[in-house]
Amino acid sequence: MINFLDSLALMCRLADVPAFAVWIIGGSDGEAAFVESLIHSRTELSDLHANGALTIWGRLATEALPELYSRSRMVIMPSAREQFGIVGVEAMMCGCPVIATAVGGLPDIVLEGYTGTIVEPDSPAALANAMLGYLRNPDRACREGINARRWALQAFSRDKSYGALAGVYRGAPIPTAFASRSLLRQLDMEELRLRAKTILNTEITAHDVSSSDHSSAIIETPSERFFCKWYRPERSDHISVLPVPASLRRERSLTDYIAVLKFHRENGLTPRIIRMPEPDDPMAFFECCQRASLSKKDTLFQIRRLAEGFRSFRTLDPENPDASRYMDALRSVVAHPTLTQIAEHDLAAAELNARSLGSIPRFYQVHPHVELIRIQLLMREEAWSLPAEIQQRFDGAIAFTLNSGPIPVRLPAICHGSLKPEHLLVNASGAIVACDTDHSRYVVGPIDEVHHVWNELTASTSFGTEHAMDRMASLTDSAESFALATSWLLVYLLFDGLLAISLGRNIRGAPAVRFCRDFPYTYRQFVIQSRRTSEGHLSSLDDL
Amino acid sequence: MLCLTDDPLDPPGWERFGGGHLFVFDLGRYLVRLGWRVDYITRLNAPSKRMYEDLGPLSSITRANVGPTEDLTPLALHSYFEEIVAAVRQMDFLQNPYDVIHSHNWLSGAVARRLISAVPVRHIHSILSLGRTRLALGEEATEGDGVRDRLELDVFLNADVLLTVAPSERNDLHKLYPEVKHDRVAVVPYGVDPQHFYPRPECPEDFVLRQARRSSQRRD
Repeated sequence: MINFLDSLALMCRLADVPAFAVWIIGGSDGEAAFVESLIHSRTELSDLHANGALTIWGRLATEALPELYSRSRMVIMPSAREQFGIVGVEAMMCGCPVIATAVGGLPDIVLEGYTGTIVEPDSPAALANAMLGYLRNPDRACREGINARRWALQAFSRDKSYGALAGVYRGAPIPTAFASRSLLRQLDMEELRLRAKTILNTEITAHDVSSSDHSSAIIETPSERFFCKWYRPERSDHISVLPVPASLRRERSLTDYIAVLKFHRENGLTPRIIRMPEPDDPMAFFECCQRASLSKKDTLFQIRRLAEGFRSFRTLDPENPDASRYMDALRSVVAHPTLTQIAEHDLAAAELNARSLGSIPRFYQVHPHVELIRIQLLMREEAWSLPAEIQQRFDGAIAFTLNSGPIPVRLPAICHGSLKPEHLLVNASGAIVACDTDHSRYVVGPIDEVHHVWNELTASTSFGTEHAMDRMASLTDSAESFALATSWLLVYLLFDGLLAISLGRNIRGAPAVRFCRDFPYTYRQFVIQSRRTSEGHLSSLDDL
Repeated sequence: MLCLTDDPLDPPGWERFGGGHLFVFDLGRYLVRLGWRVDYITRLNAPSKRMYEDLGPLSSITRANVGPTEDLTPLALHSYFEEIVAAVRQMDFLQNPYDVIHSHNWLSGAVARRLISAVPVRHIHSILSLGRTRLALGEEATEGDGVRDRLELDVFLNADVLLTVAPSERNDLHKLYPEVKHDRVAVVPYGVDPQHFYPRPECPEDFVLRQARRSSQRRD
């Protein structure tokens, strides 16, 4: 409880915290009085209590609990010890996500990132950041709440548990298996198979190839093969971490997925779409391609080719009013780098993307330098509870990047959004295409090339900052592109760090921290070297 | 069901009365609905309570009048151990042909071991907490630790089934009590009734926002 109250007090001191109310439920009269004394010993909480935003309910009848769970955006279980965590299961059953400490049975019952968040115990900062993530992104609570209800029904419904116990009483084999996420995947796959069978109106087999919250399968009929994807709400971490304009605080929905698929329908660099999903039927069928088996060198070549190909697909007309409004907003941020200007930029970027993609406005990261300025300003405003040494490192790397040269003011171009070797496929004509364009959007700079470098950097500790610079130099063709690429990489890594913090994790030693430590020196070395070798152009850095 | 440390009819949701406590009564109610007979044995922990109550045609609760009629921790209760065993042995319920004795918490488990030596039935034990956890967490050993450990180990080695509620509890049991045979350890989570716990109509978003707005207005 002390940990929770400290985290609440800490959260009250942070910037950009949406309005909230807290109910503390359970405990004897003595326990409630003790909690009240703890509240009054913390000024921020005392104020919350006086203003009616913090209520101590004490012990309540079990019958009253579903009403309270149902009206909560999240249930917090800040336990120091916990055998199981029945409160968490009750809350999930009522469609409420749970933030719990990693003690006892709590990590077993809460599916991290799917039905709630697990934070390290004894860390008020971790808990505060995790709570903030849900307050900043209300869609996340709704999505995880739906998942939570589904999970709790499958794993903890009374009839299943007590039925298993009745079996133990009768002498049946002792149950040792505990439900896991794979149980839900199996159910999803069965539903996908049945739906696909109805759509295709023939006997099929379905082979699960899911790698995200969407269910994906290779479907085989007696005569054909398809790649089938069932679109589901997927977490959008940006709005959990970054305080963005309220009108743009929306997770990706089926409307967005459909819009992007339609947008790329004529793009020869993506697999052919056989069946589009509909608003009430989220299942798409694509031509079935083979996974491309490429050497490292060929992979890099294809990444560059595809990234350039995407950038030249449906390029923006500078006279287009949305593009022009975006450019004005970008220039304003460059001239006056404030959070107010960035909010205007966010709205312009959202409009531009929504109108170009045929979707509804929501938050997009579009320009790496704007993102760096945003993170820098928010860190200085204390929008998150960051350890001082980490904030210093992040701030140092951002300041170095922003001071390294002018902010490129360029028109955005379309990107794939998640270009990595696993997404490179060979289609029926033998061409290499890129699947999974869900994250496609208009952005400034070579983000697709950076995505690949970021993947390598976060996957392997032997792939260090110098390797990353080297790789980006080989994937870009001008000093400006290289600068944008390094900025995007820094944005990716900083965001990873902030996301981990908002999920209640400790990030000391994380790639973001290592990169920020090494980045200024390594970058300087590269730029000096490139000036010596090719008068500012970095394409010759392949030979370094 | 042997639940000597807590009265299953006491309300949950305060001090040490949480999920494990709720489970004992809830499970009994479920089994009765299936047509099983379930009798609870507990200790009289309040003077206002009766020593015997019928809970319907298939269930009853008997309270052993041992020690002070107030709530006691399991360790405090241990000093009345022999009296509890004697009191439970005298109860009529042992004349019934029970299939199973299900004990909850180490003290009830230890009493169950003594009863079973006289009346052979299957013994299923719910662990609820592990005595060695405190020491594993680096907390200082107390006088009661040794007593608990001896009784707990006897239960863990001899009960027919040890019930854990999550993989973490099972793993702790294996780690802290390497003497225990793995093939007798079951994992069955506590169950929750979806007919009672389900999302209520009002959207949490509307409700929270309404409350928060009201609070900010008050603040202004």
